[in-house]
Amino acid sequence: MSGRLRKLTLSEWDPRYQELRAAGLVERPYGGPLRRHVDDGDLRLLSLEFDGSAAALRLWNFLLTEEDRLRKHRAEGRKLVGAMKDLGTVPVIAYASDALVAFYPDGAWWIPCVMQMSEGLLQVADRLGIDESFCPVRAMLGAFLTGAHFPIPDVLTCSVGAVCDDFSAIAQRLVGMGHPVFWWEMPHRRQVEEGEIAVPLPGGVLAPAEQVAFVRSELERVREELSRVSGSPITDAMLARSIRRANRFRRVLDRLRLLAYAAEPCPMPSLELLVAEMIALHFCSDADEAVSVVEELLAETEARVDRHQGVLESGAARLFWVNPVADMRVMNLVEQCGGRICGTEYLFSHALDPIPEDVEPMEALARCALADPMVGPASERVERIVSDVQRFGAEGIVVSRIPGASHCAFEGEVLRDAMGERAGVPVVEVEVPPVSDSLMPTLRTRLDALVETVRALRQG
Amino acid sequence: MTTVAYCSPFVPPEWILAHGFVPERIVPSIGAGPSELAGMQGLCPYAGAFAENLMRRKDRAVVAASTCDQMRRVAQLLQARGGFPVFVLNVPASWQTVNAHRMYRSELERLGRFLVRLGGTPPASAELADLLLEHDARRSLDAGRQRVQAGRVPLALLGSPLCKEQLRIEEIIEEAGGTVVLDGTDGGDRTMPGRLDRRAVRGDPLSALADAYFGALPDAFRRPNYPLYAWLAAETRARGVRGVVFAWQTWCDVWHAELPRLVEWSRVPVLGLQLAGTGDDGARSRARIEAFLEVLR
Repeated sequence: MSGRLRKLTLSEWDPRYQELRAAGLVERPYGGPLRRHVDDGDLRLLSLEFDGSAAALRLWNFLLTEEDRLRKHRAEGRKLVGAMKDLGTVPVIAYASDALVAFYPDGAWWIPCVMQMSEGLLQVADRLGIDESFCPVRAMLGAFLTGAHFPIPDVLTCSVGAVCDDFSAIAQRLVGMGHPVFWWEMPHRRQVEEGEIAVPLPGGVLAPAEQVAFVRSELERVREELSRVSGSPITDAMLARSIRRANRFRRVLDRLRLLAYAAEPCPMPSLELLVAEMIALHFCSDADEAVSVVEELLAETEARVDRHQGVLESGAARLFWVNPVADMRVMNLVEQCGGRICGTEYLFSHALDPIPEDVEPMEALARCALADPMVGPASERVERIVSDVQRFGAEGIVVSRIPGASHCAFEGEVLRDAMGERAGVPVVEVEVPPVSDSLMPTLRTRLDALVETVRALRQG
Repeated sequence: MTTVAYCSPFVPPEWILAHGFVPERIVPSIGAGPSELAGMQGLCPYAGAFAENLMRRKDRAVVAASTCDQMRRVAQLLQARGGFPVFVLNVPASWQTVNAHRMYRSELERLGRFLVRLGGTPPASAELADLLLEHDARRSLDAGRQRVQAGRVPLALLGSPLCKEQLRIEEIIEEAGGTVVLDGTDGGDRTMPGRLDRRAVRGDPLSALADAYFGALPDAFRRPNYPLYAWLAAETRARGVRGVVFAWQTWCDVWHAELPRLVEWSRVPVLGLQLAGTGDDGARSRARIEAFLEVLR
């Protein structure tokens, strides 16, 4: 059976849900119709188009019930670790202990989008003096102040140094609001110099052994702190087990990305892939379940590839997306413009690459953390993107600027110029705010132009 | 090449001098001619001016510091397009751990190797100690000079590093009846290194140098950054400061984020000035500074 699968609006999901239930759908405890999330305030769902599979339903339900899960963990006596900024490493340490659950308060940057600004978090940040000249992650301040979107963590860690200034400044503001932060240093990753030992990092870049050792010593401090919070030492054996589980997730996700980004026709929408990639950061507060959720999504995708079934017409322009988008709806827009996502670099490729298992766990985690694309030179980011553009066969690149983010204010332009030259494909730069409805015509025009250019280039 | 340019207060000029180079602290000038960076969006005026100034005269090596997003990226740009040697000194944002102190010291050693590769000579320990003590003594003399107030309203000036044209803010303050008795911008009182421990200098001069800079300078980017407020509290009290003029460059999140906190914290009024780096920042600020001083007088 081949042919195109239609994406569904939320209204269309209501009967689809009934249909699945009637066909014997068995759900996890967090399951249910998507509509209920709108009733909880997630208004953006009304503007999105979703994949219509049971696997996608599970993915969305898993994502949108995280707050309940965190509260349940706390009720069951686990300590909550608010890992900030490192994106992908501290949670692996935390999940080594059964007494800890980690999540990223940074994820609050999506709340204004998901709740379509109805929650007022950005206004709270404004009142605290952190205005729109800062990146949308400032919503996190409001989430801490109101306590309405996630439970206040028992411990907060934050990587500082060569991370983004917006986040560092906002985290410092949190301290002023009475939330102590355990700071750990992430140095600017530099080139290996003459006479230095080079260490390969996940993703293919090299770093000086001295810097890897430094990050390892910083992560050792994090391990000590989390051991203290959990009440018992986090051993190397526990870490090795946690790394294996994280890698299981990353391997499944890698296979999923390869199929979804490379197969023709496109078997899974970019919006669902965006969610799956985001889950890699901290497993949505349930590491085992996260693996199972993406395994089901992969199984659905594999089945579609076998059946030559897609969610888009064949021949959609193959676009690579750089930087995360604050408004999920833009993922739909790309497809409405005749494009499809064929590869991403959402500034956390180090959370997707396998963690080395052939070295000591803390050494492996240090290498992983130091591979963060944000902490290294833009030239290395460009190399990684160009390599992935080739891997997924992308024909164009979209650089998505994060409004207010000082790190990508002019890096976008640098990336655009360098990537266009190195990858040999057209590049367009856009800026996506948390709710981009008013900018849709502009965004559409720019994406249309890129899609048309890609099509013209195909015809020679 | 005999000159090594730098702008961060965390780059010790004594260390450059000790290797046989002339350290030149750059106070960049805005838009003094055609630029290779012209038209580049989203660039902090200071970081942009720093890069432009260096690109216009390419006979110097450069030491940049990793203390903010924009300087890190500008340094990469200079490494790629500058055509002169560029070194990025990794300055840790955290400071409460032994790890952070070790890293800064180790970065100074790495800077030393960079200078040697440029043709410099590594200093002998005793020579370095002498040089450091000489600088320390000179600084303590400078610190002893008192500013003349002459009945003017004593103010503190705090915030992002300033370009040459933006330093005119100090003149405007004077013209409006105030005087800056506490300079909290880069190059001012806040960025004076700590006093050297004479015995420690003789034992391990490089560690003593690292302590005098990394262990002493309060700055907005440091985590946590309460030493900035401790310094400000002590100095504003000691110098009778009656108001704070807080200036930040567009895209300088590190300092900009401190403004609301400073307003909550400060016992004296605070005036916030956003600098666009268009060359007329001083003129645009005049009316606000005059009004501020009128209220304080």
